[in-house]
This record gives sequence, C-alpha cells and structure tokens, in this order.
Amino acid sequence: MKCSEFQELLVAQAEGLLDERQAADLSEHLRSCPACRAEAEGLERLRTRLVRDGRAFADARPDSRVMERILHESTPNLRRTNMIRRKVTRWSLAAAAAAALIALVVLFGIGRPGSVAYALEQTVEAYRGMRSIHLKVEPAPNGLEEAWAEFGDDGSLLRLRMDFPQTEDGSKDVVWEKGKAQVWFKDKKCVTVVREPNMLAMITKQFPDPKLAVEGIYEAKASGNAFVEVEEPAAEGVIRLTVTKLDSTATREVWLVDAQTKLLRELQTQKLEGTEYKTVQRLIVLDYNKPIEASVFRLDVPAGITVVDQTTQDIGLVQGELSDNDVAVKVVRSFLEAVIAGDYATAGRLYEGMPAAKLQEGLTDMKFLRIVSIGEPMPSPEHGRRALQVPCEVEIEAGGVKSVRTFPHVFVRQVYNQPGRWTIFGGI
Amino acid sequence: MSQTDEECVKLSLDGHPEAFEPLVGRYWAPILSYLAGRLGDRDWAEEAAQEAFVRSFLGLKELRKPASFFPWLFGIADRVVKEQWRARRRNEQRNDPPWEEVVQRAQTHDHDLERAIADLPEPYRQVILLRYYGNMSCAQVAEGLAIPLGTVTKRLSRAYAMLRASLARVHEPQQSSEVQR
Repeated sequence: MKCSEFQELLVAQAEGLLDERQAADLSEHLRSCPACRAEAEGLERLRTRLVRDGRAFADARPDSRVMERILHESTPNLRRTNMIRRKVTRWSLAAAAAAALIALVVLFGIGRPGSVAYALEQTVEAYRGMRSIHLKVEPAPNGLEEAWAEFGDDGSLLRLRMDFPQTEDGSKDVVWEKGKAQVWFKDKKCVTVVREPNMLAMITKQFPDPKLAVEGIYEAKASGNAFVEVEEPAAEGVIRLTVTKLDSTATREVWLVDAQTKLLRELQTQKLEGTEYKTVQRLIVLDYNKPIEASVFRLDVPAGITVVDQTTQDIGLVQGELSDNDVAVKVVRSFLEAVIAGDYATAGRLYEGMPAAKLQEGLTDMKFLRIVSIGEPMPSPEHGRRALQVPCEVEIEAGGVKSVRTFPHVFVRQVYNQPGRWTIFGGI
Repeated sequence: MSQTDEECVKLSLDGHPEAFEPLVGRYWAPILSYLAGRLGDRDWAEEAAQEAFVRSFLGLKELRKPASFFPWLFGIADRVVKEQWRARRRNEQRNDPPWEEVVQRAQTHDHDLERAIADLPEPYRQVILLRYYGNMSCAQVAEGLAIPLGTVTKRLSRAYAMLRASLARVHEPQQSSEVQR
C-alpha cells in the first residue's frame, strides 16, 4: 500500500471504522513512516480543534422565537386545511356507528352508570386480575419480538423475559427478576448481569404495555390530545377502539378488544401516510393468565459463555468532581496500569466487570509494558450520549519483540444504572 | 422514536407546523456554527439562523425532495448571509460601525476554524458540520445525507486536508477584499 492509501485509512481509524487487520497494518506502517506519522499527528490536532469548537456549540439551544415565529407565520391556508381535516375526521368517525357515539358519551364521563356500551374502564378492570401475559410484536421494534411476563397480586411485575433476535448487538435474550436483569448477548457469547430496579418503566419504552396503555388513553383524552372512537362489535366477538392522536405524530392506535373478557387481543399502531392510516406495527397477545413454565424465565446458557456480573462488584471508577473527559482518561490509565502490573482483577473491574481469568486469557499473546500516550477523548454518540473514545498507545512485547501498539478503539461510558461510575466497554 | 427529516417535512406540510420543531433542534447547532463562521459574530449568527429556519418553513412546499431538507436549508442560510452582508454595507454607509470592527469583536470560539469550514465547498462543509457540530456519527451523517458511509469518510478526509491548508494560511496577511465578502 502507498502512503496516500494509508493516509486515507487514518480517517477511518479515527472514526473507529477499521477492522483489526487494517488497524494493525496502519499501526505497523506508522511506526516506520515519519511522513505518515506527521500526517496522523496533524490530523489529530485538527480533530481535537474541531471537537473543542463543536462543544462550544453543543449547548446552543434553538432560539424559542424560531418556533414562535413559525407557528405565528404559518399561512392562514395551512391552518384552515388543518382544522378542516380534523373536523372531517371527527364527523365521519362520529357518524360511522351509533355505538361509537354512545361509547363516547360514556367515555367522556356524562353517561349513566350501568350503560351497556363498552367502556375503557372494563378493560382496566379486566387487567387488574391479570397474572401473566405472553405477546409478540410484528415487526419487532428495536429487535424485540416476543415477551412473557408474570405479575403479582398488586399488579407489580414479578418476572419477565424478552427475546430480541436482531439488534445492533446481535441476537440477545433478557430475563428479569428481583431488580436484576440478565442479558445474554448470543453472538458475543457473553451474559451481563445488571441492576435494573424499575424494569416496568424501562420496557414500556420498548413496547406498549397494554395495561399502561389504557391509562395512557385516559391521560391523552383528558388533555385533549386524543380522539377516541369505539366500534362494538367490529367483528365477531371483537370491540374495536381507535385512538387518534391530535398531535404532530400523526399516529393512531387501534385496539382489538375481546368482547367477552375485555382484554386486548391486538394493538395496532398506525401512521398517517398521505391521507390514509397504515398499520406499521402489531402487538399480538398470544395468551393471558396461562401458567408460564419456570424455564422460560431462566437463560439456558451453554458452558463456555463468559458471565459478567455487575451487581456483585463495583464497576469502573467514581467520577466525583472530574469532568467526563478527565474521568475517561483516568479509567483508561488505571486499566492499563493494572494490566501492566498483572492485576487482572482490578483491570476487569474497570472493563465492565470482565472476569480476571477471561481478561488474562485475552491478553496471553502480548505483555503490556508501558503507557506511551493517552489521547484526547472524543465523543462517540453511537455508543450513547456521553460515551467517549479514548485512543491510546502502549508499548507491548509480543513474541519476544517490543513495539508500540496503538489502540484506537478504547471506549468509556457510564456504568449501566450506576450513574457517577465510568467503565471501559466493548472491544479494545 | 425520533422522526426522519422526511416525516417532519411531510407533517409540517400537512398542517402540523409543530412537526417542524425536531428539524430546528436537529440542525440548529450546525447551521449556527456555519453562520458564525460566515458572519463572525455569534449574536448576529443567531439572528440569521432564526431567519433561515423561518424562511425554510415558509418555503417548504418548494422543497422537491423532503429527505434533502438539510442541504436545502443550507442554500437558504447562504442567501440569508448574503442579504445580511448587503444590509450591513448599506447601514455602514449610514452611521453604523464599520463592519471590520464587527468582525474584530467576533465572539465565536474558534473563528479561524469556523471561517475555514464556512469556506469549504458545500459537500465537504456539510459532513464536517454534521459530524462535529451536529454531534452525529459517520453512519448518521451517511443516513442524513443519503450517501454511502465510504463517501462520508472520503469527504471527511478531503475536508481535513482543505481545512489544514486553509488554517496554515490563516496568519498570512489578509486582503481587505477578503474581509468584505
């Protein structure tokens, strides 16, 4: 490869886009080529300057007058179109079925008690007795495809399993019980155990919990943000509830409720495309209140899988008064010093809780001798809002030969659910 | 789940002006830093950014490809810059302070760098602004500009070379005509 080609690689390296082989070739070349080394240093200086100046604008919040002016200056035609569309929607929905009108009266709280029409309260009541649920989502949001949950008498979540066949981290299964979540990264052959005290709140970000969603409808309706229509029966044994959001999301939810049990059978999320709502996601309930085998809530992990337990040890370093950049550099320095000293237990704690033996095994083919440099941390937004990339150079000995090796892909971020503690994560 | 540029544009056109807000949030910092580079004054840049966003909203129906909102917004910001300079010259002929003085009291953080970025040809300027001022990863930049990831890194590489050359020249004496763009 020519120098110009290596210099092309410098950019990909700085962005963490090189594979190991390319990174090793580049590192090898840089050791022997002063011109490319100078190029790399010049590039790094420029990137540092760009990152610094970028940060000076990072806090720039849009001037609130922009949206005020936009809302004010929206043309009268636009506003009129909008109002007409909403009005037509309301009218056509209301005229669609007399049952809808009756239900709306009940829903809006002016109906007589004992009305025969379906009301959301019945579904809320039906969910009070729910002990377990098994559901699937199509297509899977963020890869979540199937979930099982068990609830206690008071409605609290007792046990949960979620399967994600496709995520950025590859296939993963999650089980949760008693404030701890075990995440099995199947492709990475690793199980991570993390603290997750409030799983219910977390999962509702991933997929709609039918129980909470019912309550969400009340809130949206009370605040005037949703329009609710009921069709009873919409089909054999099915009540259809349509919740149209009157906000900028242009989405609506269609609930197919079992007429007898009043439990949700299916929840469709629809999005406005042109003038029609189209289903973009379906949550299908496969079973309610059927006993779930205990094995569902256990990960059937084969032997040889690394287990990283973050709940039984203090991971990473405490940030204290340090800036994000300073604590990131400190974590990397402490980790490298521990590896150099052969203290793999300490090094493992600074590396997401990696078991000492596993870490040592990964480093058998090289010995770390000395830290040569630790570079300026750079934001790594693809790994999380405050994640940082901290490139470093270490003198190593491999096969009896000493050399300086660059590690451009060292990433540092806050320990999951342990704010204030920072750890190295991912591959190095 | 955040909406794409295309969805925000379509919703805004469909009578939901509030759907424009995510676009303002997403591109405020890159546009502001670009305008700061062009105008040399942060307060002035904020005024111009406000103007550019409002005009882009009002002209949304002219945007042929909703997914290309960002490059199109840039074109509008450029026009705002030119108008602002023209207005400034006219005011100068009346009793406003000469605008060399305005440039000298530049309040931006690294004006040389911002100026050098503003002078880059558009495709290179876009990737630098989105990567460093929009705090996007290369993959996000590729997605936002609908170009392959390899093109993003190639453009970054070329942009770095141009910026370094431009910054190396920065201490050479400036032509007065260069200030009076």
